[in-house]
Amino acid sequence: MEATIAAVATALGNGSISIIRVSGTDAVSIVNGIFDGVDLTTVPTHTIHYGHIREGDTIIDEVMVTVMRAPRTYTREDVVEINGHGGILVTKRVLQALFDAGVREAEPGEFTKRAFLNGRIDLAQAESVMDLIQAKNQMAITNSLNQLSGRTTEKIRVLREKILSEIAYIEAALDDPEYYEMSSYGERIREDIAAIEARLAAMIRQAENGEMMRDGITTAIVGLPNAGKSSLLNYLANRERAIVTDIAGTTRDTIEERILMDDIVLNMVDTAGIRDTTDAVERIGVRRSLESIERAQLILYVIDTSVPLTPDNDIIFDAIGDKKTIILLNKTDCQNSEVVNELPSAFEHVIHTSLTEETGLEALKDCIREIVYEGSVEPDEDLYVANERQRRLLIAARDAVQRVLDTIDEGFAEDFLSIDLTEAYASLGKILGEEIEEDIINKIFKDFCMGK
Amino acid sequence: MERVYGSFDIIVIGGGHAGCEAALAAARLGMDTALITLSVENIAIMPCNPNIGGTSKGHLVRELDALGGEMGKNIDKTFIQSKMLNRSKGPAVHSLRAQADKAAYSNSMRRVLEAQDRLTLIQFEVTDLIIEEGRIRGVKVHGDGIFHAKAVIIATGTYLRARCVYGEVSVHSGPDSLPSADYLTEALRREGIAMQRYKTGTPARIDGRTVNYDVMIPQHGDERIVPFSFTNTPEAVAREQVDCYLTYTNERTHEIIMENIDRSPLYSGFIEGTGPRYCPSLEDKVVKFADKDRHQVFIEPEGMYTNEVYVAGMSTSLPYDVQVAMYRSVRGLENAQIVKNGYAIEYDCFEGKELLPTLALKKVENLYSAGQMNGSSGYEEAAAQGLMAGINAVRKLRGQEEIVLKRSDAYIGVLIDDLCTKESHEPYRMMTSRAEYRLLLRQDNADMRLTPIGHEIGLIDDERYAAFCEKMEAVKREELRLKNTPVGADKRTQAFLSAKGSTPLKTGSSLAELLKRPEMTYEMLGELDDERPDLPPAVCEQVAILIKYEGYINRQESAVARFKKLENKRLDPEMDYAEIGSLRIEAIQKLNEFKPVSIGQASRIAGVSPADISVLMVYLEKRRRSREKH
Repeated sequence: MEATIAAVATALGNGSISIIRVSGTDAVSIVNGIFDGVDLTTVPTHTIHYGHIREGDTIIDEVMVTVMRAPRTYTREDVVEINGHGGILVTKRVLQALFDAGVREAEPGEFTKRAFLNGRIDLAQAESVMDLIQAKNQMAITNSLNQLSGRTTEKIRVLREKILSEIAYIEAALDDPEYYEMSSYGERIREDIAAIEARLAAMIRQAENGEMMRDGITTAIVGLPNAGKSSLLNYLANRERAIVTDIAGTTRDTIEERILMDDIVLNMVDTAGIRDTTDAVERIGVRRSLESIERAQLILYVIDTSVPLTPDNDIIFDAIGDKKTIILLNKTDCQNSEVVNELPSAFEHVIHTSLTEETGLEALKDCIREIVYEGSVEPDEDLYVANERQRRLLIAARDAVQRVLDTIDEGFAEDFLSIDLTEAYASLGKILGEEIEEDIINKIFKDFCMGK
Repeated sequence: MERVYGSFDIIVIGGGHAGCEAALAAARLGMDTALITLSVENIAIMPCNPNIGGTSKGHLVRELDALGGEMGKNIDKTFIQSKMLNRSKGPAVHSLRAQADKAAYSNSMRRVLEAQDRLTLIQFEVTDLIIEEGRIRGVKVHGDGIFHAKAVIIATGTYLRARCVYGEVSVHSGPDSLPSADYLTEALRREGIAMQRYKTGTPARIDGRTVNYDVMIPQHGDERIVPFSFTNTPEAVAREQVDCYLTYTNERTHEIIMENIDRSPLYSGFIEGTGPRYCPSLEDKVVKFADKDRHQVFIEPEGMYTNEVYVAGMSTSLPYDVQVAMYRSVRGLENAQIVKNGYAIEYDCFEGKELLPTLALKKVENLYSAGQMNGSSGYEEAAAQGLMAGINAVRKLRGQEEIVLKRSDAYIGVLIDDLCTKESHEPYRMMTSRAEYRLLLRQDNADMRLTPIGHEIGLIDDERYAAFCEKMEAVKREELRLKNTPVGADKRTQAFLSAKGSTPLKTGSSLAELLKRPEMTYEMLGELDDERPDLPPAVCEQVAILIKYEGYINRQESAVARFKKLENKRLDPEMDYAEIGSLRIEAIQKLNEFKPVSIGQASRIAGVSPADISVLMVYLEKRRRSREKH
């Protein structure tokens, strides 16, 4: 009896389809539980079926599902592959539906490990299987930690320390009941535990909003004065989810907004309009804008097409060099067609927009997604995987803390509290890549004077 | 000139709590056994605290008893006070603790040993081990005398190169002025076995006539005593009990310590051994917990044979004059007369990595070890290991599979696994927080967990086993009956519930469902339960726990199922992990150092990551398949 596991088998966001692979004893029955279509438990092996994946009553995706029963499968276990529509958000929701149905997230390299352990992969490849497992795991840990912002890591540490203190007190009191008083301790700490639960719930929301990730993509909106930069920023900030977060110290730029577009966090940098000027104050602004271009990973260059290009536009083109850039030919409503022809031909991504009429903006978003998922800006797959893992662990921790509250409310004795507190502590530790080991014992001895 | 003095199947070195259990188990399982001790007058003495059991240690004694050990029966015979600790908490942490009459305990155990067939007591100091081709052949004693043996169990406690220290005084001796054993360390080192030096300590014993109990708080025993041994009933062990007394240190006590801290051998560096954190000397407590203005002190009688009392909580190795001032500063001890002063003791013991989970030494075949020699502390920890070492030495000689209790089976399993898996730097004491599955490892169900194993080993006789099976049947029957007995939402039920402050029923339910309510007990439900059979209290207790905590119990059981998967995957203790290139370097070093016996044990070694474990599993499969090929 091996646990049923799942993971995305194709690179996320790339191409038009995505494949989620599910493997294990309950693979068929679990997928069947979230699948609208034929009864997958009765179909012949190695057949493909059309249908929909749903979450409760909502259809998440239109899919083709391949059912392959052991042993003629990659892992030699029952395998189901869900071919979906490739969008990162949709894929994620299908995966979450599977997790909610009791599937475990596959560890890095786990399909291959199972394939080998079940005799599917040749003996000669054993060494490379082992290397792969080790390498994938190392990468997963590194990614997980790298993607957490310093503040998030700190928050988790603080919560863990609080939980550990409660565990240590309870355990110390259980171990030395004549010294440490613990009657109705549950009621005494209920408020603190509820606060921990609330914090965890908030962090789960943040994880879902991508706020925990350290690095969004630094995106500078540049252009001449009055090209429509601020309108663009306002539009994006209003239409997409703006992230309100304290990011002091993370950047020297003025980030007006952090914006979440699907899974992509854009740190929007507002810049002053660029032009050749003698005004001392304005020159400082221009210099800053040019510096912003240098630091940005993605540039949205807004060009006012109602007026001809000027040498000032060239200053910006020069500054951009070969950086990833999307040119927005704005004000299509009053376009001067000459301008389009004068553009340097090197730019791959050119979009016509009208911010006043709100046209071309979907195309802009698609273009941003395309650039990002193509991998030329950020390794988003790892980023996504890391973030999803953290979310699941946060949920596990929150559930455990919730059980602690239930235990208190049901009036169980104090020793039951530390069982779930320990579980919460361990789950949070996994986010940071830390094991429990002797933490609890060490904390007891550090904080409590034990023994006679 | 060497002379052969005798020949046995199994020799146990040491007559403490580990040695007694080891020797009894070996002899009871049919082996011709000798217990060689420095002093037959000092069998099963308690050189430190005068009690058996306590939190989690009580569990060990119950488990030991369920397997067929002696400690539980012996303390039941000789206790002078008994208390179930943590009674207001969940059943998992209820823990028995009894005050012993030290002399009675020792004498009683000596009589048990003397009455045991096939067991010979011999007074000698073992000076050397006879090892040929990596296998133990016997021991040497003073005068080049040889005792041959097929297996040897080392249970030398705190006696190897022991040194007792207080103030500037250092005496080369074991506890209580008994001689130390000075030669065995060398014999073990010769085999390349890694040793370390540990430290522990004990408080002074005071003349009870000089204690003013009137100003202290008396601590009574329980009215209804739960015996340690499953073979006893509360009625059978009922007796008159004595009181202990509680008093406190104060600021003056702490001042005296701080004024003289430079004369403490712990702080002057005179003591090099590592001391236990759970059993600190009072000077340690005062230094480390400077914010505490007082510490508890329990005055506990050493027994009925003496005036001496044990001053629990005031372990010390300060100089004698400071000890006198320190003890006398405590309320009720103003006129205290010290009979024996407190001291710290240093001794040699094994590093855990030398041990297999069977308690055999890795480097010498048929050589076993138990107790403080393995880096533990405490009578109960020692006895538990002694029993397992005794059982396994016998089974090894008989070619039977040795018994390793898992962490999910018993506190004994946790204890031994920790000792041989974790790098420790202090004497190891059992604690409830060390057991991952403690809801399953309760003191009340130690028999359910272990008596079938004890019976299979041969230490539980058929009669006791039959009684056990009967109890199990009764538990099962009653549990089922409660689950299958419907309770309607009728007038009688609702009246009963409201009388008990419990919410009324909306629909029909069962007795079991009602019992799950936190405010409900098995006894209370009796009013509603017309068909209730007359059952022994132990059965009712068990049924109530199984039903009330079913949710938690089920959760831990599924965790155990996952845990066992890795536990059952065996590793070859001879394996060279450097061969597996994909392991991280730290993992290779640790695995080669500890040579774990299972994937599960490997996963608990500090420095081995989950990815390393995955790699190991692939490697095992690779090896298995390449062997199949050939």
